[in-house]
Amino acid sequence: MNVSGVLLACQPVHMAQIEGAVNALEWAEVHFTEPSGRMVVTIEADSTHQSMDRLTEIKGLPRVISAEMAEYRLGETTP
Amino acid sequence: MSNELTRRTFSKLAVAASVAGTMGFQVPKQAKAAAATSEAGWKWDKSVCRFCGVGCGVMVATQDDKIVAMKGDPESPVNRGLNCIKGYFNAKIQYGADRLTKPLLRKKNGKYAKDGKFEAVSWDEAFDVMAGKFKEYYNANGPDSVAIFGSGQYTIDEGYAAAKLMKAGFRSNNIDPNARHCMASAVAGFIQTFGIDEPAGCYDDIELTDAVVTWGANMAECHPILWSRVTDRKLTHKDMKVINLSTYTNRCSDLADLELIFTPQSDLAILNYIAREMVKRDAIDHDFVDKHCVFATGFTDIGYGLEADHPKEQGQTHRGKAGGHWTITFDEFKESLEPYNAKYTSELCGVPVEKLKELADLYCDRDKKIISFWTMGFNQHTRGTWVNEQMYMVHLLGGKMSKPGSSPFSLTGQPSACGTAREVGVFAHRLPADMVVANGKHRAKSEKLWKLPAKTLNPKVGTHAVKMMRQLRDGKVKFHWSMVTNPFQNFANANEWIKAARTGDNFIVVSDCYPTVSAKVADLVLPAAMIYEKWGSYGNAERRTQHWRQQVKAPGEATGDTWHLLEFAKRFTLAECWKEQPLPGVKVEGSPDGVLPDVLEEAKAMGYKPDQTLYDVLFAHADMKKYEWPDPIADGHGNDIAEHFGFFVQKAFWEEYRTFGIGNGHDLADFDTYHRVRGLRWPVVNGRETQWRFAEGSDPYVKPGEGFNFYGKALKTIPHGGPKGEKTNHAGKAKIFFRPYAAPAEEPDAEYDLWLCTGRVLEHWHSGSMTKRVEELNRAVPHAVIYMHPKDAKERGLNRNDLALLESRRGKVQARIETGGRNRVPRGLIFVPWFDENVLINKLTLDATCPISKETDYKKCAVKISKATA
Repeated sequence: MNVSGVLLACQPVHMAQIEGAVNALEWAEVHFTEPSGRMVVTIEADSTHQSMDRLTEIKGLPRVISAEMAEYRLGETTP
Repeated sequence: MSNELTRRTFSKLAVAASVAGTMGFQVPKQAKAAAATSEAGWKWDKSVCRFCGVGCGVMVATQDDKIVAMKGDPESPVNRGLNCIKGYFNAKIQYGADRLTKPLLRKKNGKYAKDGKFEAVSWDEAFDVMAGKFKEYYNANGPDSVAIFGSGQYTIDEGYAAAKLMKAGFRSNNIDPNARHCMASAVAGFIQTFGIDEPAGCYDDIELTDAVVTWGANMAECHPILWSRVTDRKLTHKDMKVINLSTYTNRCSDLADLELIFTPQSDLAILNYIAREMVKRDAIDHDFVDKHCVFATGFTDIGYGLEADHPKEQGQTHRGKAGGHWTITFDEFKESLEPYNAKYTSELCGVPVEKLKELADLYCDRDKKIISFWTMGFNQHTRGTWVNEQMYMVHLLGGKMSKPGSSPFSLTGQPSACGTAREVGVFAHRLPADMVVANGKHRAKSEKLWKLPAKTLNPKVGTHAVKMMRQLRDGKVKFHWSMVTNPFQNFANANEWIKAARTGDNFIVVSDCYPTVSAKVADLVLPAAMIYEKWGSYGNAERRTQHWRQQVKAPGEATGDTWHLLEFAKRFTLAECWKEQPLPGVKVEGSPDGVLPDVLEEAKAMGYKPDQTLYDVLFAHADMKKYEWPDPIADGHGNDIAEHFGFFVQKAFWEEYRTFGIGNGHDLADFDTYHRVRGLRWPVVNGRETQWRFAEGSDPYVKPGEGFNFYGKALKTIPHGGPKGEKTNHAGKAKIFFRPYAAPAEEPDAEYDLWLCTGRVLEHWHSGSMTKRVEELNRAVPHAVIYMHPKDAKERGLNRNDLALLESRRGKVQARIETGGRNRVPRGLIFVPWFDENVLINKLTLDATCPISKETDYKKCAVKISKATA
């Protein structure tokens, strides 16, 4: 299982909506939030392919301004 | 709770806590402990991202000579722990299945043959054939017949070795980088305006500004980490405004308060409209302008950098003196701006008057701090130098310059376009530290620092990149060596050059790590080591120089580009290169015209022997060899290049190179310092870096009481009132240029009825030679598509995903239609990214350039599109 740490940014007024949308995804979780609109999200995935697809899915959630990878562990890379 | 669940919960918490800690969130103790435990036993070292010019810091973890983990460097002031999608796969680019691991030479019947097939050969055989072909052409045709096409992705030591070998060794100025395609207009803009290259401000401005305006820069996709800083500022500073100017809607518009989609080329008019409004509304910082600026203009009939017989070049009297300029009065400046009123500008650019006015309101607001960012939309422009100068015009008029939070900022596309191509001077006309070959004093200084006999350096400006290809076709350039770049994919009008390389009497060498389009076109391919397989350094867009250590070994027989250059240099003696040389057009005092003098006698007097090699004299002299290997700064890391040559090559080159900049506005710190810090922004004087150049209190070159001093030395003595006016020196001043609107070199017409704009997408970098090898990136964006307006598609009977035939006057390609997606183009324009060698879009583009900078306009040509029949 790969775990990636992602920094997500949105407008403060959309935080609750986005936090709900992320947590509703079985493989993603919001761990920390800041009132300015930033939050730390983890993504679980079986392969790096899946990690990328899932990050792309989070980037595509309505009202997400940016979602960037901050940490990733390559040890368990699957081609 | 099951063990599995506990473990999962623990590792998620560890990653989240690590990220949160890095990003400055409040993190509970328990979470911090989880993060620390999970990282135990990993060996991390700081390094730099391989890709764009932002210069993000990365942390690399290695185990058993393999990279096992990567993350954004939390201590890097640039990216503060974040990486974009490309940065995050930095390690994976080294592990593509088709890495080149042996030299490959075209052979037939056991011998080199231009029409032969690639065979793996030894390094010795590769260099024997390469040096043989080089000498064949060089001896018969002189230094003008050989060329190196270098790169803004060279490490600093690689660029330095290449420039020194060509200029001091072979006495040829035919070395030019791919930065000619991306930064040359920015450079010319800096030199003409300030007399010195590179931005005054820095990234710190982002957190201090009130507004960001992007001009032809899709930062959201191409500089995502800086864009995340802009986003952060926007979210935390309620008065912050973001405006996006582009020829199509891109992802930057998602954050922007205002978007202006303008007709290609009309940015020239929009900038003049803003300046006109500033004058009209008296939004000028008179004190700043009076003390620190002069007004200037130049020739307008300068052509389009096309070949002399092209219809567009006829009657362009000053195409050979395109950069010529002179001072004018403020009243003349004001009068020149007069035509650019809102109505005229709006008609030209297609942007409604209200939006133009809102943009002007921002620049006219004396209380607002503004950063203007630009990249290829400005630089790849047939008036690229002008439009760069116009951006400075607007900022200088408002005094929004060299001040915290206010900065006209030229972004770069390559990781060391600044650090290597520009600062080292890997250009046909340059020497290190902004010196130029045409200046006798600069040559003399370089000869002294390089310990060369007087008159070794060639005063004739070499062939710039575009001309290099034209001369390859014309049989003038016969030996062409490209390094860390993919010219046969990245030059406009590519068909012509590929044909010339394959069919001409010439020898094409490519140093590369993967079988790119250029490698396939070559006669000899040299396998190269990649970023973390060697020591190196890059300089980013904010003047920050960053060094890294070798982390792992290169695969097979691949070696660093510095190794390629130094081993090649061993095959040439002084007697072969420093003799009298034919060089049409050159004038050296004391020698007949068209001749570079013999300098061997003086070389002997200096203690050199004619049978010494260029390697001995240029790269391995006693002052170099005093930098011994091993060295404690390595901290346990290997250095295959130093092991091979027997001294600390990278450190020796660095210490020699930096002597050029000391006291010259380009001061750099010593080698070891860079291994202890996260980069430093030059000038670095007495250990202190410079955030805002030209500003008192920040820049050590500005004296107390001066306030500002635009101390660059180039082009400060210019005539007044016209090209023949009386010359005056304007030391310390910046120039506010008036430049008019000029029509593009090619526009849509009845037959070729659409604009073609090319560029990048987030997932791929440049020609895709690295990122196409990363499955995740390739899977995300496998092919270049044609971004097209749905109505334009419908009119031509095309639907989304249809295979279409795209044609210009120069070539054709097939690709699929995309009518939605991230780039939303207006009617009449299509956008095609250039990373995909299977959609070789540069077969279609036009090789028109800015006549001053010689940079190609990849953003504008005319094409037509139809359904593909195949």
